Amino acid sequence: MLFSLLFIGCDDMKSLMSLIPKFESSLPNVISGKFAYYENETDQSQRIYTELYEFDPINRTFTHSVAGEDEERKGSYTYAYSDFIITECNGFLTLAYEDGTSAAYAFKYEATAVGGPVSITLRQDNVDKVLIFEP
Amino acid sequence: MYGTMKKLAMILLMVLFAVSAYADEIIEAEEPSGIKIEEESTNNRSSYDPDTYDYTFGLIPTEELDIYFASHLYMDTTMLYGYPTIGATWDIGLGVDTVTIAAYVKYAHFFKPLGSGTGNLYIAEEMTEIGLSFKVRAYELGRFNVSFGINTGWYQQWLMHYSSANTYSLVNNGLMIRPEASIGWNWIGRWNMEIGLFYQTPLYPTYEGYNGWGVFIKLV
Repeated sequence: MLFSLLFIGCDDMKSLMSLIPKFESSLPNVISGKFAYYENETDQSQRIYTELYEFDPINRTFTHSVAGEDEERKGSYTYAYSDFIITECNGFLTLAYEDGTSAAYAFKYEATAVGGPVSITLRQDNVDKVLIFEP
Repeated sequence: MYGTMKKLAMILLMVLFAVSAYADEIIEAEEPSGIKIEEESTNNRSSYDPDTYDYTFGLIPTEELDIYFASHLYMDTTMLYGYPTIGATWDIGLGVDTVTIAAYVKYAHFFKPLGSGTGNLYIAEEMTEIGLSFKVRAYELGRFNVSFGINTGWYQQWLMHYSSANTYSLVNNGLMIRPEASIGWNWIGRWNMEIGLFYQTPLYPTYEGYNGWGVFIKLV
């Protein structure tokens, strides 16, 4: 009984410890959540996306789906900031797909303190692709 | 690099000259009443109180400096992003007559991170700071007194992003400067109740979000 109490105590301790916030000296990962690419404003107003990216900041993985294609591509991503001022930051983003291909972008992230994330602009070969945040 | 070192050396020399000149002025000014300079032929050192006798400079203080240990706890609130924060500061140091020099730690909690209560971007914000404070009691009238001071410390802005609950990330940090003025009431012994006003600004690198006025009250 004492032995089991000890284990219960350990579990409680773990639960308690998980409540204590962690402090990290690194900048937060803002590449998080769903971002959609729309061909035009009409599509955006009707929420008919052409591409949809979903970023998981904990595991640093993503899914990329394209309208009209059944297959959803998955992979992991890495990022590095070149400039960070809370509601706007720039950097580089690399998407490594599970099939072995990868895509490297320069990115610009924009957000507001009240509304949250607004968009991520991905730039590749001087072509911008604006991904709109999907709440 | 060499030029910078040369400039620093020049500044250091100037500071040393200024300090030594100031020290000389104090000794000369206080000689008749406060401190008298020992004569060269004095042989009866044993006749002086060894606790107050300063053999290093050959000075015999006739009035002891009031040196005391000081530790205080303050509560404060600062207007940042247009909303008040709640914070506390604990300091520990030395008081010499009317001057207090102390090391401090400060913490401030933001009820509205970045001025927003939506939690759509950041769900929590805290500020911590460690530094040194310098305070002078400039005026006294009976039990009432007026003090001026300055805190200089290294602050850290901790933000919790909506995507990483329970983890604070260090976003801005740097040199904070916080001039302050306070009025006090010397209640019992050394217990000086104080209420004051301060302005804080991150000096380097500059971060406008943490510029703001605040008030503090000394608890103990």
